[in-house]
Amino acid sequence: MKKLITYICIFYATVIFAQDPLVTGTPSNYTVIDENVTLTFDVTNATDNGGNSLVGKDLYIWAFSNAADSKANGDWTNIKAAARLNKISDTEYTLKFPITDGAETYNTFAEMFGVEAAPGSITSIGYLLRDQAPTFQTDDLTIPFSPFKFDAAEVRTFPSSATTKDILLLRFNKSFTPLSNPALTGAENISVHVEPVGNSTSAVDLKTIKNGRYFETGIIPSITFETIDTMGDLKELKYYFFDTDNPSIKSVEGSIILKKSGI
Amino acid sequence: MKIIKYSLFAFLIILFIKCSPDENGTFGEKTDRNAQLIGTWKIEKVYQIDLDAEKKNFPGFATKVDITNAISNMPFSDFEMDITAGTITTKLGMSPMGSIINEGEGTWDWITNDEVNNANQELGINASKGINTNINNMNVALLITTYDGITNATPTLSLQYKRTDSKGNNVVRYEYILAKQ
Repeated sequence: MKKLITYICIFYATVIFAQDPLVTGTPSNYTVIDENVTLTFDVTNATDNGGNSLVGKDLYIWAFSNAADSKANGDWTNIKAAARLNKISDTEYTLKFPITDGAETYNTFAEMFGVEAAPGSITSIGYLLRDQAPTFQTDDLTIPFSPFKFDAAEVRTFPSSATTKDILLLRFNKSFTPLSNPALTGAENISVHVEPVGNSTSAVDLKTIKNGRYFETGIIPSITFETIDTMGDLKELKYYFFDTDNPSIKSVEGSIILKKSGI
Repeated sequence: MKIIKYSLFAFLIILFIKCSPDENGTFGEKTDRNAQLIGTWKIEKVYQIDLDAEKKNFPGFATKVDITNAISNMPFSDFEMDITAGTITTKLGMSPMGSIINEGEGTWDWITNDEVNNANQELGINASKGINTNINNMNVALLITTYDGITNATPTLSLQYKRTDSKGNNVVRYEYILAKQ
């Protein structure tokens, strides 16, 4: 009877204290396109799906996502060396980007899953830990990551990145809350002041038109600021919006770094 | 008797292995994309695509924007492109297309380094293909998004241009919808 009670206690203790590995990332809010991410797996209380502790074992990660399986997995019965976790201590293991896999290098999760062209397609990442053979494995577990998030803003450009030769829309969202200058709420006509950084005398003021959620206007920087572009000095623009009828009422300032076009 | 049997057997094997038609069979004529491209084309619509936003699945208004009338006094509809067999002539007018392609007369040919797309094109199905243009020593690759619309009563052509920066990184993409005149 005593034995039975002891077994029951051991069973419940195992169930109660058995945990999944604790996964933490450095940096803490990483996305699937961030480089130099390190994942740390704390296996202090973690067990495989047979209830056996993972502490001190040689661990490999078998990773998968909704978009694709990890290119570092290899075959189930012949897992790649690239999938081996770095053993920091008996309870702490890491997976560190960049990951070298033969001639290939994966700098990000997106590259590891082979979807670097469409990283937004990754909405979930799963994994299990196992040994090389495998003689044991954990249940399917989840790796957390920060999703891409579009942050609304009072002023912005479209596109977010452009060369001097591209069409650049300067956009003001009058419905943004809170506006940096609430007086702009009453403005009926809105203009934008655009200024090449380091050359304020070349600044221009342009009228905007309402287009959907934005008051906007477009420029091609290399044409609007042709002389500065010809000198090779057109590298960044600052801009702010103002009430056309009362220019002292201004928005917050925005800026964009302009790239040099490939042709 | 055995010799005759084995000889006959060998003959039949050779017959089945070696015989083949003189020409590969075909199911109808191939679509002549050259003929479909020939003509005068004018821009009807222009979209700009933020490649970073597209990668991150951001909302549509932050990813793809109609810029047809984005710049005052510079209508894209001024742009005209005349394609004949091997030659291309562009007229910019007041359009902003000067930041993409030169004005003048030059040459064009198919981009041929994509075997899959070539195969698709020969099969006459929608494909991502394109043409290389050279006008006044400026090379511009224009990709064809789709052949949908190419056989419409007023044929339309969807071309794309991908802007790269000086380091070769993709920055933005433009999609032009042109109508045959």
